[in-house]
Amino acid sequence: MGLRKAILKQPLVRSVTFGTMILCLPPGAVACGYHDDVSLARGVLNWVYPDALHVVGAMAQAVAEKRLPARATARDLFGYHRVVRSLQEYGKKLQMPSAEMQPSAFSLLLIEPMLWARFMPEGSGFRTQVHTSGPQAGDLVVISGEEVVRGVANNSWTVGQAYRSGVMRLYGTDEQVRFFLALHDHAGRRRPTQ
Amino acid sequence: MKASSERLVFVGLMTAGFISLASAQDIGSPAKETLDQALPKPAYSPYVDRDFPTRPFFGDTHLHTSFSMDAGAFGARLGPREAYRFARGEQVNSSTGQPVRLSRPLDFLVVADHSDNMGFFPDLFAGKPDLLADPTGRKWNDMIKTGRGGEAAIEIIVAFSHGTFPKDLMYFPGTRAYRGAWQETIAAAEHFNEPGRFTAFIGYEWTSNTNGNNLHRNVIFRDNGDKASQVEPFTVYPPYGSDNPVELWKWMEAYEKKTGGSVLAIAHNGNLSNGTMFPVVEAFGKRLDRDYVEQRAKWERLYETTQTKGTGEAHPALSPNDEFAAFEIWDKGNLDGSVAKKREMLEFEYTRSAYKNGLKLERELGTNPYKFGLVGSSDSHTGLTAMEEDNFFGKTVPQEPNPHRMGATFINNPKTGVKVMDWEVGSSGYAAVWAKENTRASLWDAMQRKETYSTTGTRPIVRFFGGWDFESQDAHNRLPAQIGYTKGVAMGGDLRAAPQGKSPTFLVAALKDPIGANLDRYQIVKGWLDKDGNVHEKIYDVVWSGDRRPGPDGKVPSVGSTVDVANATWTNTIGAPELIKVWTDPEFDPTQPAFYYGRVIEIPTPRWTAYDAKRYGVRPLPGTAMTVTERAYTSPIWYTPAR
Repeated sequence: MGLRKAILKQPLVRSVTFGTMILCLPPGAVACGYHDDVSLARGVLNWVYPDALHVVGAMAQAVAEKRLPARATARDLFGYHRVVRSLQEYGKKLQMPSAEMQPSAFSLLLIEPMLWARFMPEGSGFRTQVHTSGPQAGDLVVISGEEVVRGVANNSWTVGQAYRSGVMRLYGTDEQVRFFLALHDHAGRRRPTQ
Repeated sequence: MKASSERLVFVGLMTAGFISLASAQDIGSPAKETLDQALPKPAYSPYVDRDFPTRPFFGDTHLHTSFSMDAGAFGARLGPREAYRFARGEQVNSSTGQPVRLSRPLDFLVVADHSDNMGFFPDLFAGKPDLLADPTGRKWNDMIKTGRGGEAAIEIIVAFSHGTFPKDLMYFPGTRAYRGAWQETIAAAEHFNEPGRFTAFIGYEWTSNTNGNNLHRNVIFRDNGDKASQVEPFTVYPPYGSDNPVELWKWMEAYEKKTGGSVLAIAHNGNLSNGTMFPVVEAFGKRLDRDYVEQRAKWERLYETTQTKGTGEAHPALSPNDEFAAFEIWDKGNLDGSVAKKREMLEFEYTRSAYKNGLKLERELGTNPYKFGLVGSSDSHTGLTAMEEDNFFGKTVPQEPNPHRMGATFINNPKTGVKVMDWEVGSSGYAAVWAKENTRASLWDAMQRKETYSTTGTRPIVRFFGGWDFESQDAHNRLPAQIGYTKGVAMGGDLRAAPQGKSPTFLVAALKDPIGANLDRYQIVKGWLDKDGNVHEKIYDVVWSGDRRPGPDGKVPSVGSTVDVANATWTNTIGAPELIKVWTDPEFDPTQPAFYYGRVIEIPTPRWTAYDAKRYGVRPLPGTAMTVTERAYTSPIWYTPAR
């Protein structure tokens, strides 16, 4: 038996191998943020979607400039339901501007809880599915934060503003990104009062 | 110094010559004026032939980049090259996209990535050929490329835990992939090493963590890549590696024998070792013996006494009379929180008690294994050695500046109750090295002779000399180092066999960080071993700012505070920019071995938590420390009685 194979067959070595990694890491490698530490998943995100964590830096800057509130959503059931509502409201903002434009489904990741949601075109809008396992093949991926999504939902931010200030990042083909922005740039715009 | 020795020799020879002549023929005794005219004078310039360090070099001996498995997993994207650029003073973007720059460049850096699985994360996501050659590696890479990287990451982690990780992907020493990561580490250091301007040391961290007890060491090479590349770092996996420090020392010995080079090891975080860092009876099931103490003393010349995961100089439970002992203490458990701390563990975790126990072990076994000098360093896992309070970029990427980092949890083990909050992570520290020039050889040699001190992130200039003949007026001389090196030994040195009737005298001097806070006081901490084998300690306030007088308890009152926590500001309207004095040990017993080290305390300043609260408008959690008294700890000077 080769030496390396022999090494890997030793339970102690396997556990040390994994243990060495995990001892330095928080428990609960895979979770949305409502039931365990998600630092590992968020950290790996920065490799899977390069510079995804720049959203964190951009949001920190926006808080310092008072363009975003500093509050953190409670990591409990109430907090979860608040976020679900925000995501659904966000989806409602993504109205199709015309019948000719055929948007694609996209997946959105809230970076603080590492919560995935998917937005699928349905009728004249989007249907929101929260707590999906991740993007589906071909999905445009949107990475952003809870307060940004909430901001779009309550007309404090537009999708375009969020993208240009770095608090929302898009991952897909160039065409997918262009189309998404063309379609949704003004989503969240506060309508002028009559 | 050299000129005065020559002068003495010349005088001696001249005197001998005159005596010889006088015995043959009495020509009278020469007048003083004649001698003065005949003897050579020192050069006009006082600095001619000066041969001692004239400035400390500040650096970090313990930084992690994306090459470390855990740093990469937490999202660190900065590798060794970015780390060096930052340390040299360049502005870079952090892993969370925030621009960052040091207030001033550092003088040196050791990128000390974990030797286990070094380089794995960057290689996996870069699609390195060695990984792609394996079908599973190729599959994972394809998943990453097609947007299924999250799935890939999950598969990787599960494969690790189930033991199904492809053998050809394991980054063991001896594999081409591992060798590649080590060679890139060396190449980066070679590229950024610029003798005279910036030193990039080659190094790594050996990460012994058995049962969650931290016994980590950073290994630092004196050498260039030609020697370092002849070996691969020592890991903890048998048979290539071991979690026992004794085996690390054997690896170091083998390296020196093979290459003719030099390495030293610096341990850290005794506070997270649960009593195993500084053993006095046995280690790894083997009773301490002469070989252990000699080897430890040989290879571990320094100890990292302060860093982000706590400061380990002293503990209030061990030193109840030390009002400054409770500083950035982490004393709840071991590294992963799997075992809670017990009171009886503390003695074997902290620097000062190790120094005291070292005196005992020397009496028993002939060598003091804990006769180490002191450095501070960061242990940052962000690729950024950013340890200034107003510029703190955290220990890991999740702790890079953001509104929520003060309220987050760092370690939480519900089974043991060990919980450490992110606000407890300290913005500390740096190593200060008194070397003659900024080169690998000169800095390393200074570390080897322990002429170093530790700071908690600021850059005060601290001198500490010990001898038998310092006088109070020496403190008025504007060239105290000249006197210090002439009449005594520098920090890290030894005094032996006290001359009859003399007590050790110490010349201490500290200058504030030019852009930092004033100084509160300079203390000397003394520890000694009495004839009954009991150890003792006492802290002396040697010199302090202002006109404060020691109270009835002998302690100098607090300097006060000018910190405005809400605005994260302070003023230098208290304290002093310079402290200098000569001090004589008033309770010296020449028969008792002892150590003395300097501790310099600054006036209070805002802690990083205060800067965060101000910037983000967030309220800290109850109990969050919002101010800090930065400090420096010198390497000791040891006294050994005559035999």
